[in-house]
Amino acid sequence: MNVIFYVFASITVLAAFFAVVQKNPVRGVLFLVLAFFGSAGLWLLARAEFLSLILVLVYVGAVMTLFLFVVMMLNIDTEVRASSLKRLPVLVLGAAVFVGILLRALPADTEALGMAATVQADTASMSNTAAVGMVLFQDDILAFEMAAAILLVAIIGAITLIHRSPKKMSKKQDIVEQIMTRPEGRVKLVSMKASKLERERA
Amino acid sequence: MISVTHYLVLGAILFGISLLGMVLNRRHVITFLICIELMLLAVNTNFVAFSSSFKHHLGDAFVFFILTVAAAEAAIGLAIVLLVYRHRGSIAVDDINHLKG
Repeated sequence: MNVIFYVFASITVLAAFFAVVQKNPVRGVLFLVLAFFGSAGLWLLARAEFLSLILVLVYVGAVMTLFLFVVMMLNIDTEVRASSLKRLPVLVLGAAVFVGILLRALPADTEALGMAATVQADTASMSNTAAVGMVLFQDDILAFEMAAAILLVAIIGAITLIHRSPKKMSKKQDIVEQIMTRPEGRVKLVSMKASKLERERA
Repeated sequence: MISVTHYLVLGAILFGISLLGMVLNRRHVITFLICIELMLLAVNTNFVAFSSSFKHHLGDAFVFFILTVAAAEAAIGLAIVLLVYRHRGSIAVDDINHLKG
């Protein structure tokens, strides 16, 4: 139990570190995927099976793939960051101080709070998925609907930002123009003299 | 025995790493987005730990919503990055200074 936690935790932390210091963004995203896998294992250990699988299937499977697609579509010059790696030791020290402050802020009584798996097996009646579903669809149904609305807004926003209307190459019907047409638009009457005789008379 | 504290320490370390990445790569938008994802992962880990410990699934629901919003944010962010790249031919943050911010 402990060994599994430490293995997954070290995988997650190392992958996160390498994702952050990587010069190549593609490798960075791949290390991020590894970090997600590590924490999916940790969540599984914490008896959050549904979320752990959602993290792998939806997040790694869809969002990270989107990341990879975009990163590969862009032609990014990777030598921009060569200078910033010199400052790495100082920044690592700063981040360590920050983490130390965060650790000082941990509540003292969390040590006594065991995880569900280590306390007792209490999932006799309901599976984890069913329990999360009860919370989602009964207590938080409004928030659930709002999440759906947020996703819809995100879809529309992303497509509106990126979509390029195609060039006007195709011949297509414009129904409104066809209906609203008038004889003046189609036939042009030009008055001109009919014959040579008439011209001379004028 | 693994307690909530282990998970909290892990979340703090992940958060620190992603903060380090943000300061380190101020010029790269893509790495910035990666760091934001890592931060959300750290927060989610804390939520999962507390939810598991208190045996109440509200924390799991929170993680669900955070994942939803993070996916939406990633999609919009990447769309903006792609748009900037199309207009400027580069996504270096130093080049994006039209708003004079």
